[in-house]
Amino acid sequence: MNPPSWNSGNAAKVREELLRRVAEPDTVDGPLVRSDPRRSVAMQWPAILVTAVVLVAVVALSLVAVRLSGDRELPATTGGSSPAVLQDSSPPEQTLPPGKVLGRFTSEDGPNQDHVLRPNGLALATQFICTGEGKYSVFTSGGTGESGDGGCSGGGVGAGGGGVNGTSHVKIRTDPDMTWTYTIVGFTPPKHITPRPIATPTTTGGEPVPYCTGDDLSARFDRISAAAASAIGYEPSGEITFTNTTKRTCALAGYPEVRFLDDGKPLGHNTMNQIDPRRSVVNGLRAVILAPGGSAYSQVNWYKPGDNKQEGPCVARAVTSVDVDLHYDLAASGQTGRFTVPIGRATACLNGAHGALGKYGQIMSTVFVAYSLNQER
Amino acid sequence: MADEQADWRAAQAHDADAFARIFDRHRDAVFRQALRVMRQPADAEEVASAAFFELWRKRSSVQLVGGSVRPWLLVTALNLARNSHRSRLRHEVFLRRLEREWRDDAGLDAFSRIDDAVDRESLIAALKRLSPQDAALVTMTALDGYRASEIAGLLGISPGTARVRLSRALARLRGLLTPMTEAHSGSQEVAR
Repeated sequence: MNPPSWNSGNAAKVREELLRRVAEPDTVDGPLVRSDPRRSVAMQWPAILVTAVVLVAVVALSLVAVRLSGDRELPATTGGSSPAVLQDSSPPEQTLPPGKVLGRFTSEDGPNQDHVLRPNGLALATQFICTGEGKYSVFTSGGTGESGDGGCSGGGVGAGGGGVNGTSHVKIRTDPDMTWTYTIVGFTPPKHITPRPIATPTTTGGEPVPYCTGDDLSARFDRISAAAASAIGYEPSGEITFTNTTKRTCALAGYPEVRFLDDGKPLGHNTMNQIDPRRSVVNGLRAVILAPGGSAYSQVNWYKPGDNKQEGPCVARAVTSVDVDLHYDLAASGQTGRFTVPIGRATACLNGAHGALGKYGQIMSTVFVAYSLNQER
Repeated sequence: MADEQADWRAAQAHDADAFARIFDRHRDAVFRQALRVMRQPADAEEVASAAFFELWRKRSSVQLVGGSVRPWLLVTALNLARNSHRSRLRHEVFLRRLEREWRDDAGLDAFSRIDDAVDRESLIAALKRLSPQDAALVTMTALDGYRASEIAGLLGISPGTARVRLSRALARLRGLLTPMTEAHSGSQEVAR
């Protein structure tokens, strides 16, 4: 007897539906976490540290928000399925690599979702990406924070903290016609890294140098030429150069916080910095000294459509300027300044080629690097 | 299988034609696998459909065996059949639109013996009593010609473990099938 074949009318329908889904352009499905071979493992630690700081801040802010609003409880499930338990299969005591995806839900799961997650002692970070029209809310309770809510109009990204330790209950409420992905990523809290105090920058002669403020500086963006890119070995997206326009010497340390702007409003939440560990706070901060007229630059990178194609999809968006904040991790230093820097016409993957966390973010910046004429402490 | 690897890479990059070739290459095998564990052909269709939707949804993490996605599909179909409620729910919206056109008995007759020498009902009953991994090992080695060591990785076990478990599972399956066959033939003799 011939083995049965599947050639019913339903098979044809399934085939048609599959091909429709395949032919859809990249949205938010696909791999969210992949290590980037261009960067060493050692370089991830500072990013994790920053991530932890950001997460703590997000959690703290959201706790305040919860307390202020008081009535953030979401409506009861309507027709939703019973909570599914997602548990990482690793033993609880195991240290998972940063960026490990603990849970992932999509619009195919339906508009109202309740889930119980066990982060195995790891902190959680979450990302919600949507396309289409509608409203969403994502609520993480039982842990220490919430994720957020908002509207999705032709594309949107949300991010936030989630539970740490124990059991977290995640409620996802979305409009039915929206396409969305909600990802929960765990990472290892970098307990053993303690930032060292920031040393006062000095000149080679030992003179103390004040940190630069926004009034001292001008900022501009330069795209990196193909030749320069090949000399570096991979293609950065460009450099933001800061020039001391005053007659006094000032210092820049750390790295700028950079995010894409759309009509003056920040796009997305996942701006992350890529720190050279030799210069970062982890090993003691090294400042760049800017004499009058002197310059330093920070290299900025983002994923463009076509980059690392095998790594997955890209939520592409046209971008024309970035918001640059020098204050970011140096609140205590007095280093301030905020600039809006045009970057020409560019296209960026707003989800990052990698997804939700840290160096997987949308745009990355390096620590300030002195041009060779300037002195470095 | 070099062709399939190229097709799979193209499909991952949203090449619908390449995905169509993959679907057409494996649809019958996946459907057959589903028929081994679902009594109703309509249910088997749902399972087979869900397996392909899962193939697309999990395209970034699908593990190829010998350059082919077929073993992944076969294992997934078994798992979907096992967890039919939870896993197929994901695709419920689409699957509800399918017609249950196989409900009539005439359609079912064609599948009364899907694999040589094994009564379909007995096999379904026996496979249900094996663990999902063992069911995958048994069906894919005995009926699809894979070696246990080839599909061990898909099942998350070592090749050595897979071989040991396969032989135990086959022994168990024999034990599960034999009494039923005997009981069946015994009743036939009474009828005669």
